[in-house]
Amino acid sequence: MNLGFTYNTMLVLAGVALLGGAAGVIGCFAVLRRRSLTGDALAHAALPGLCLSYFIVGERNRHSLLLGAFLSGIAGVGAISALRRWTRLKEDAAIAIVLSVFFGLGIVLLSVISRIPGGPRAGLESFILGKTAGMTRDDLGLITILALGTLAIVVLFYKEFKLITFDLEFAGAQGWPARSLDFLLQMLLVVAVIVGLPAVGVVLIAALLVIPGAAARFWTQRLGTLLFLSALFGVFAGVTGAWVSANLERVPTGPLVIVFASLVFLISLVFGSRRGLLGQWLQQRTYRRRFEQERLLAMLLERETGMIWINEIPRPFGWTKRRFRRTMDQGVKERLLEYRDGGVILSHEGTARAALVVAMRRSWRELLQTHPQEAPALLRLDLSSADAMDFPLP
Amino acid sequence: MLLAQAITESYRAFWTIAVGATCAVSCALLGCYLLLRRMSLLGDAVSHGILPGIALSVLLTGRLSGPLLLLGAMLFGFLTAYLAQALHSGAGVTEDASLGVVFTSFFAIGVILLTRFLYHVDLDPQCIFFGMLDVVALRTTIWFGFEVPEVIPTQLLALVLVLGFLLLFWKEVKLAAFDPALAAAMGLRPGLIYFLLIALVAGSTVSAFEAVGSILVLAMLIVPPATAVLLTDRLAPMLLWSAGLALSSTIFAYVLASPAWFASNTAGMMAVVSGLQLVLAIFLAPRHGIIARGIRHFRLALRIAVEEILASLYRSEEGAPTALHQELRDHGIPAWISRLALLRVRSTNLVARSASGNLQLTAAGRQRAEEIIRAHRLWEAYLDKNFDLPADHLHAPASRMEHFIGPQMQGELARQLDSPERDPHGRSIPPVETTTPSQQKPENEYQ
Repeated sequence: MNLGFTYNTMLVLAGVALLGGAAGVIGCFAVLRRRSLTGDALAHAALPGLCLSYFIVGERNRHSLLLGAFLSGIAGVGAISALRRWTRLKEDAAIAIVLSVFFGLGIVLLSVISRIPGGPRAGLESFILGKTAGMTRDDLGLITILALGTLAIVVLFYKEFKLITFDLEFAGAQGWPARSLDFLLQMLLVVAVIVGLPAVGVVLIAALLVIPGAAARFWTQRLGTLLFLSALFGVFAGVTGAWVSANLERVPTGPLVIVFASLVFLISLVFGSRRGLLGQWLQQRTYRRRFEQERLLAMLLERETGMIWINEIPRPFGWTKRRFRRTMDQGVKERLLEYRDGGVILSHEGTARAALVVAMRRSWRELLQTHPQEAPALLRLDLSSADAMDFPLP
Repeated sequence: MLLAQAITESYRAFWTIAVGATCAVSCALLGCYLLLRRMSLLGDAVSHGILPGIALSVLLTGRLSGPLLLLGAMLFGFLTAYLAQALHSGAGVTEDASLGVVFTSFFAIGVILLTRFLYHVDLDPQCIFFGMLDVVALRTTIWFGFEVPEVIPTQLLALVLVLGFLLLFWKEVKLAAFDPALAAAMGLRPGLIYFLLIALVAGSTVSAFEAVGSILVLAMLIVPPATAVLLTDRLAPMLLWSAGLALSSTIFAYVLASPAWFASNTAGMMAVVSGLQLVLAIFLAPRHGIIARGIRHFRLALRIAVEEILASLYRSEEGAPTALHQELRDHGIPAWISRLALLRVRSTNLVARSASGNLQLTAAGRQRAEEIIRAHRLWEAYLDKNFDLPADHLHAPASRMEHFIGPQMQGELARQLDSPERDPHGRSIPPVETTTPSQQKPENEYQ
């Protein structure tokens, strides 16, 4: 396979990787502040600014276009908070309104521009989808500045950002300039969106901002680790996406980067060490098996014969034969049960454990009966903490 | 020749407006529920998330229309909503992030499918993203013997489905919009309503996207309902307003986008016009508009200032030292309001200037002042009796409350306190004069 590391590919790889990292870090804060979709709205809101600056400056001057997009992005952020402050509309409606109305204005302006002789022709499509393959050294320079600037600001204001991310009101009450810091975070978001727009387009810059942060949440609760992982995921998605699309025909880079980011998200969703689906399932299985074992022990203790036939499935349990056998085998393995005459009985250890289980259940029942109003809180305690509560045995 | 041109022109105008209006109205009606359930961004997510469905059905049939397209888009629209919900409730991802993850991923997959496999299909991406309302009216087909635009049958179907849904499930939908938990408790199955709603949003989105594009659909879904919610507090008028605003935005947009004005994209202009309608409503709405609220604030401030002046003069008659302007400033009343209030009390003959040049209460003014002082001191007595507050903490809350305690509330307070004659500071509480009807004071003007 041809690795295809031409100069241009290297440029694109570096650009997308840096963009992914920077967006990962900034997006992480956005996700934590529940502002994931603000990036999406901002990206759409940049279009009228692009068009207006084209009107005013007249020629295709990159920097003035970026400035226009930046200003209209800020206007978008301002409009969202103005709508929330001055009307009875909620945040979601405000975001949706700003996104769609600004974008509509942009399209109107664009359709007017496109009739100017010598105006841009394919501007719209590259605005939506981005033109990653057409990345220039100028673009790379801007992205590098963005990435380094973001890194510097986040390192400088790490403690402050941490505080306002988790409790804005508390930060304000402690005397931090919480609103200004929040504004700084939003400005970082605007800058990231504007710089990323030419590279990956409107929808996909929104994705780069949301997906790595959301994926990193499945691995850790610590902000530092979260930011690092999020940046790492962003870089990984950028590099793999750019590399694969360089080797495939007719596959646009931007969307491919997002697909790899989603892949990282899926892997995190399943295998994540915190709230990952696999971990959740395993934990539930452990609880369920322990619960089943305790039921079996309690039943054996309470039976007059003190034994259960191997082929008998106790009626109230509603288990399958397989499940019943597994619970029995496991009990024997843990030396809580013993096989005797085609059935199982409690071992010495098992009797003690069963007595404890029965006593604990009785205590629980009493506790729930005497304090019914505490039932929801009590039921939320897991089994291990119930163990630790050390109930008096009857 | 000129006549023929005029006929062609008005024909085009009619069908463009008809196409725009049918999708705008059905989106605006559905959007009311999205807005009330705070699911506005679901509209955004669904309108992007349907792209793989569109790509797959184009891949299968080779054309950008037909029932399979509608089905594919609805499937993916529903999948977007379902997956986002599952991520939120099953894996604890915050609502906004789960929407963002799902719809951007779907959108990316859709774009890849379109560019990788469908480069040979004559598919203008502009059409998908921004709509071609301007040319839609010209692509016609024969339907029941009439020549109508190709998209009209699908759109009418969407509109009929939306209207049918609303009329059939009016009660259920109403309850589900405002209180899903209560709806569930009453056995009205808000889950089913939600399911139908999402399916309809996806259906309307896809039937509209050819005309207005997948992004501007959001403007149609959310902006007219957001405007309507500022204009009314009831659901049925909200739906009517929303539909009416959608219709008017289509008509104005067509005019503004015509060559005589800006000669621009009509779909984009629809979003802009609905945005302008929203801005107008933000300022001019009868109850929730900024101007109406400003007037209400102004009148309240003026009334409070007038009452403060009267109360202060009353206290000075009792012998308390007064510094009227200082007091007004302490209440946070701006100087210009105070000046207006002084003019007001003079002109309404509540206060007159005495021979020595001091302000004095007239008989009418004294009566009004007594009411305020009575409210103030009753409230102090009430606070003193029911709350463990030090004596110097009673005045401030009472000065705020005195403006909002009307005759009825005063009666209630007096009854609870056994008609006290003195307040906690030992000053006398003016009794109610039963002979003259007390001036009407709104009980709860300001919420």
